[in-house]
Amino acid sequence: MSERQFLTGNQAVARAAWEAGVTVATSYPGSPATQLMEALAGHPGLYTEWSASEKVALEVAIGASLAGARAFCAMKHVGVNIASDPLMTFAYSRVNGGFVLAVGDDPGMHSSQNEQDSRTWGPFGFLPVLEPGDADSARRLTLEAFALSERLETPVMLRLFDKTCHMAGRVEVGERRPPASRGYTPSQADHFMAPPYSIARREKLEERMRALQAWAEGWEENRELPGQGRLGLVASGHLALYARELAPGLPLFQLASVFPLPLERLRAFAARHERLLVLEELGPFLEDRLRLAGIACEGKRWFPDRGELTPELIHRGLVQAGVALPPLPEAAAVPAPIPRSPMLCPGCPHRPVIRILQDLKITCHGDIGCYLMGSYEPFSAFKTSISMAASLGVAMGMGRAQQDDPAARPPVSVLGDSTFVHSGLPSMANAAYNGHTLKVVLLDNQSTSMTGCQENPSTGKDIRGVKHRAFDFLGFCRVVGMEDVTEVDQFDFKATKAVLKEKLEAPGKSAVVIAKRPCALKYKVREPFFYVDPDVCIGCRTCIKVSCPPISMQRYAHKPEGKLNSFIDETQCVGCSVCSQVCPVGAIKRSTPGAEPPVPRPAGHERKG
Amino acid sequence: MPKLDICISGVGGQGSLTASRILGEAATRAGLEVVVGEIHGMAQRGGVVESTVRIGGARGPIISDGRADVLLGFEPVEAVRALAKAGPQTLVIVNTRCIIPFTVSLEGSEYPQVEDLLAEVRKVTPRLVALDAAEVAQKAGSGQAVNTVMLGVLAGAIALPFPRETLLQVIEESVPKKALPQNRQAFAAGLEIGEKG
Repeated sequence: MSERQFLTGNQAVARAAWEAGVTVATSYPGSPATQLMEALAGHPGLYTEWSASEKVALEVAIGASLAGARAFCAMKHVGVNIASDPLMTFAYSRVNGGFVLAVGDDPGMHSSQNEQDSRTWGPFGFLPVLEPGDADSARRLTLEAFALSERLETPVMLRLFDKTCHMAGRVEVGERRPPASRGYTPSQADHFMAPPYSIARREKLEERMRALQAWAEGWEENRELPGQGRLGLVASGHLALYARELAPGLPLFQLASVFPLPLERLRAFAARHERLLVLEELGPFLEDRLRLAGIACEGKRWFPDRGELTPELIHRGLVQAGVALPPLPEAAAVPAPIPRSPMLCPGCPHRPVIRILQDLKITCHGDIGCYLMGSYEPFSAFKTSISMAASLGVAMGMGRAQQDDPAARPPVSVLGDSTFVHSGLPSMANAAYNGHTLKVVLLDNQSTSMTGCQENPSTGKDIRGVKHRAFDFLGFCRVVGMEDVTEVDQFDFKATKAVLKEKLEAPGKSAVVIAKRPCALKYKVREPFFYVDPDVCIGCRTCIKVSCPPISMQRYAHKPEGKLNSFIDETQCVGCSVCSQVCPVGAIKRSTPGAEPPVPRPAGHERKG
Repeated sequence: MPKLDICISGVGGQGSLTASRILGEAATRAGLEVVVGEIHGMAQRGGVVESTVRIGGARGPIISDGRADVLLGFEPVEAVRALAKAGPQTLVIVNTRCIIPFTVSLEGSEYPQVEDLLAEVRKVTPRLVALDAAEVAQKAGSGQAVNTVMLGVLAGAIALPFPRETLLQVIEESVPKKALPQNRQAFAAGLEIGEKG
């Protein structure tokens, strides 16, 4: 039975993993691949988990595959960096149950700290890399990836993009293959990856690469789409769709396996055309592989090697390369609209801490999470951000480099609960072991919020909401040797400020301060809203500087022309009280449920009806 | 099959992504080829959100500049930000209810006059429908139903390649049961505004 569904790329891959009979699936949340595991967890009959990190996720999936089950793992591109330790060696081993790793790349850095081209893991790690273009092909390629993995006993990487993860379309779906374990027979020669076994396995990789090469040549998803002219295009994934849309008349070699490439078919395609033009995002990768194989081509000469390729950039490159195309319409010349930046949510528990750190003028190192918005206007609280939990190591190193500078105060690391568990645990042990003076502010909002409020060890609930054991941050810090650990309620602004000032400014003494308020978005925190009395407000904008979405400066009809006063949109305010605590004149007050605040409303916000 | 390219722009939290997925689901049920694309780096946190609905033919998720058939602007400044996608043929539907970025309040600069923003749209295309969708939604009984109003206006203003009933059915499946009457009313009110043009 086949049926059509409207699915995103993420949902289509999840559906295919389920259809393929996967029984163990793991992930650490990260855009653009977060919804992959969320979609898979909604399917019955398999085990799914949010692992503590991508490395752990990969290792759990490896274990399941070794046992003979089909296993699936998903992560964003930077997740592969830490998972690459097990991945590079697992690739040496003889894969038992089908193993597919889906990776979401993010050209243009819509929600990432860098751009990486995950195809490079292919030749680096002897891994086949498959790349779908739309949601329907995402399903087909995932199914093929599992079959290929078992047939050639190799892990398979499925490379997705921000565009392909979030792109939705019509998908033909099928039934689930009944999960069937291939069983586990211990074999050190296949699975104990140290010499002499790993040396023998390394030799076998040559054989596997040859088999993969033959598979790529014969795979029908690598296909030639006919056209006219002396120039042939080579593209994969969504770029092949763009190419077909912008230049439907050009012959196109549409690739689904980006490593290994069907080189002989590409060589034949090249021979039938005067020129070969490679269209790829990031890279050059395909272009380099073709050149290495002695196939002349052009690519990055005409197209950017960073950011997303838009239809406009592709059109421009094709035209500059000499392709005759009808011009695209000119974009309307519009004056640049006022900017709109993302900001912390109403009631966000990070807000008061970030505001206090900014006030204290201490050098703070930020990390990966919602709180990174504390580096943007109006806060600028965090001076550095590198990678998951790197703020801890950075603070230690900077402290050592500045230890003889009497003017320097110990740098502070600020990070959240999920990031701390992901990569911060060894750093904490390092701090105690090497006697660093380390100041840590741990923002424990009991949620992995940046990616959409997933569960994590701090919540103690698994991906399906089942309660296990919550991570004890205070206990952990003490056990690794941090003697000074304090918990604070950051919605008590003054008390928190006093604690942070004392703990973070004290020289030569490590300290951890744990701010415990939960994520307002995940836990839907809502207390009676606050309102501004415009006749007490002096228009100083101190409340605006806490950067909360409901607060804006407005004109009030009864106030002098040109004078603006603060206003709180009661539909957005969740009543966290931080603005009222920073207001120097007491103009912000909590409302009484059911009663209209006894103050005038700004012009344009009058009550209607 | 005729092609229909719809660009939707708005602010995180307004439901513009839901609107694009509803259109995609409705087109799929009608047996049409459809591709929906999204850009939502930090959508839940008040940032700019843009999505596309492309019906007819297997194509990429991005609409080229100037080529949108419809631009659905959930917020006036965001409608202007996405105006590069519009050309003289484009129908632009704008929700005139402003969402003021905090930088405006912080710097004491001014949010543009809505009339000036609509004038920018008219410079590109004469086909403009402007409405306060938040007010229409509130009158229908639910301030949350802005995207239902906008979808109603769209269905009233152009001949969608699938029945209105299909669209309404998908909307009904996407909202909580207790908000059904309000959303039906919001859709009807939108339809009426769209039909008047």
